[in-house]
Amino acid sequence: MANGYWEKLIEIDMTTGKVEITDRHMKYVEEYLGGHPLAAKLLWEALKDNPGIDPYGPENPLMFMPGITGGSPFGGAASRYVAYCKSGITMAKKPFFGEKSSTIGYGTSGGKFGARIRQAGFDGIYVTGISTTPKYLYINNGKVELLDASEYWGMTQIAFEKAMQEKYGYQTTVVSIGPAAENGCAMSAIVSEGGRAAGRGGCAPVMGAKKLKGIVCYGDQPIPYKTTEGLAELVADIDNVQWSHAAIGYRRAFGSSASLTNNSDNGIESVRNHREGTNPHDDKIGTAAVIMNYFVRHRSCHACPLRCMKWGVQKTGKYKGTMAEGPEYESAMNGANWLIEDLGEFSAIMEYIEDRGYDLIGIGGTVGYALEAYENGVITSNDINGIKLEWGNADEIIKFMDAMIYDTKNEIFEWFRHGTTYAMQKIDEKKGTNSSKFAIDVKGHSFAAHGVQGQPNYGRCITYSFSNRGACHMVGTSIAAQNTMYANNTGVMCSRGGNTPLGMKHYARLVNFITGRNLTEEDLVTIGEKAWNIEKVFNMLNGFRREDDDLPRRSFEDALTWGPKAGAVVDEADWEKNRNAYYEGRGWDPETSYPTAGKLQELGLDDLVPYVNDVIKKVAAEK
Amino acid sequence: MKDIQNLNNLKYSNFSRRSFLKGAMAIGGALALAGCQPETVTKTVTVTDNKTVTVTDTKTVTNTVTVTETVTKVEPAAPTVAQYPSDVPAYLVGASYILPDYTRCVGCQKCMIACSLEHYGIDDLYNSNIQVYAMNFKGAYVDIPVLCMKCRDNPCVKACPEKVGALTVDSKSGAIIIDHEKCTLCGLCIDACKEERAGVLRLSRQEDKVLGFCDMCGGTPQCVAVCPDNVLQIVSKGSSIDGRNFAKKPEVIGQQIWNLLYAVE
Repeated sequence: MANGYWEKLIEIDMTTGKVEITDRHMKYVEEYLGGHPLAAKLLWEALKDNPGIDPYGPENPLMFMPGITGGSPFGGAASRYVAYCKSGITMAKKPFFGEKSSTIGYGTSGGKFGARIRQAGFDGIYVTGISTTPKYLYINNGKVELLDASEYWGMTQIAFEKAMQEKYGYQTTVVSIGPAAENGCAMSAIVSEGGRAAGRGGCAPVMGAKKLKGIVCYGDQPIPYKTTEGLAELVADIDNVQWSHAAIGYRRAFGSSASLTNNSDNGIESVRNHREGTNPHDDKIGTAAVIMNYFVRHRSCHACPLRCMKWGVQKTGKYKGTMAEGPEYESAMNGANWLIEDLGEFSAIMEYIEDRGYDLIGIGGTVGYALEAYENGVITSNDINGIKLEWGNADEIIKFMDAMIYDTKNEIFEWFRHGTTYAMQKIDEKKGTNSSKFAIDVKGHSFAAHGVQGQPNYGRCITYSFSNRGACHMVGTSIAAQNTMYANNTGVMCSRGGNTPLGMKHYARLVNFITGRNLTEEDLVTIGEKAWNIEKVFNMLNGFRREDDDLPRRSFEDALTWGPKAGAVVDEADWEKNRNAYYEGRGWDPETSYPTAGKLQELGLDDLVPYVNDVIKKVAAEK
Repeated sequence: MKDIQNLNNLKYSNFSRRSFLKGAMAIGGALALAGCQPETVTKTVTVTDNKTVTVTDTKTVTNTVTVTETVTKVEPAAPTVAQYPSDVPAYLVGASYILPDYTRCVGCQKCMIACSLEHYGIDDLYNSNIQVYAMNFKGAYVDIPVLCMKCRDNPCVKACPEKVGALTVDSKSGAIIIDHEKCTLCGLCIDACKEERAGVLRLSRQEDKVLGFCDMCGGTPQCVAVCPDNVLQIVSKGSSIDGRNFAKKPEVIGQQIWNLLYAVE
């Protein structure tokens, strides 16, 4: 004890309703430390011999893992958690297990929940099984109960949080899913505090399938530090480092919304379903517009000085009284990406998405596809209950999103619930059309709000293509950055409040202070690289291969037509060279994308080699 | 005198505001030290007159520590009254209570961390004298910091039975000081605060102490120092309205602030 871990993992079997406290994770913490890499190892151990399970089935373990720094008083390192499971959204081009094939899936979120799990006396939550009736989990300083949530099922997230706060006190923190995830929408999010969302990766629909409405957590204990000697000094020092960083004023002032105008001006925003890179209505829904007309309150995650969460309220017009956390930068997926031009409409859309529990990026891609398919006559208003799905028409778009949650009769909405690529394939199959160009996905997972055509180099292409959860804007623009990001994810560090100002140097100090270990920056990066390789091999076992690590055709074919980057497009031949260089840099075979035995052995992952060999045999047999 | 004897525990060799305050806490009431250039951990303490305490190391070193008037007033009874060190900056002298700007609190809880680190050396949020509530009203969040407002009519002090007399009010700072040795844990002060005011008082986790009295960290409130948004302001006693006006339940303040920020006509 007291080496940084409580040695307690909450294990819940939703099928039987049994709650256990175990130390399942402890045998891996020395090697994988915590957070995301530890969750990757736990998933691998649970599913390595049965990788083809249905992600929506009882075998899929859904984890909520705060990092090793979770619950500490260090800003940017304290507050986050990662939700981790076999993804409920990603798809392979040639899957081994049909629709059950998917990648690993994870989403991270800030707020207070990551801190609270640790402060309540636990290192994480591990949920298996499927319940027949809705449940929620109540954690209060070492006590855990699985309770009936029938009366809350169907509630919006904000209403559920309010109900829970009224029941358990205003210092409880709630994470929950909304109607979107409850009804099996793959682009849904696990949301806390109205606007902090673990949206990506398809974890929320898995939570919905398990019928776990939410987790209510109260904790107020200090985490089990190795020693508290020098804690106050370290807190002050880390605070100084954060306040000394050049970007702190920028982050505090704008939050991520700074990038709305910044990226639009650089031609790399998602506009018109990633067709363009510059928002023609940036003066109405860009950074300055939301700062001056919308935001009323800054909010912070636990212990963080950045206060980058912004709450806004629409005070005039048709949509007055709508309020939302945001727009964050990624909200561009629901603004510029749909050609919304009015702040009131934007506000209504953001509020709707937060309330119903959509992943704003995922739904941005799916509705983006639908808008463009509608424009090109692939789908008509007859197909979608008479909805006139036109660019920038907020009311009709909200109707469409509503039907995606609640319409169980119209099969097209059933397809849309599975995500963009799935819907595209079904629609094209039925209608004999070809709308694949409008599906801006990698591995069935939507692009985030960063365009690739206007990028000056291949950084964004690399994050989107090679991320283990499908298109992802967070995992780093080079191999080194990816390994570092995964290393930081042992503490589920925030990229803005944590990684950027602190860097690996200070992160290693925090880890060593909390655990009493003596890890170097290189040690931590190796943990990150190991986790990356484990996830890659898991994806291989599901049939993901080199052709899945590619960009949608639009990236190469549709040059931007307006803005400062007009004419920009990704050079496919050159990108291909970059892909090969990437695989070589990773120590993987550029021809197949599979990790080589030598690389795995070098990382101490010898036990993965037979699994890789099995996949190679299986693929050879297909031919 | 037994409290003075505890000066043995003060580590003068690493004298800083922070370590001084911790030491001061250990003797149950802050002594005022001035011009002290400490050198060695001491072994024995002798009171030479009403103004000074001579702290003598058994081997060599002698430090002279000035004790302010209030301590001499309560002599010979055990000193339980907090005071400001005489080197407090002028703008803090006479400070009365800390008023949050509720419209601007971002809910980072750094004040809770600082309070707990200051008083206990660890970020134990339960023990923090200031508590921040992240409250959800009708779709949007507000964060409401709540702490002891040092109400001038002191319902908690009045509630404390006369024969117990565990609560006293510091004449300079208005801080309510609890003598944990006298306290019988009857809970009457907790009830009084809960029924009449914000309800900041509570039992410690081990149920062996009453927590929640803000002692202004002896003059340098760490919550104020650490707040990234300057939400917390020290309101001087002479020129301000009574803190009791703000000693309201967090949900009451929260609802009002929500209306102020988010409500639309």
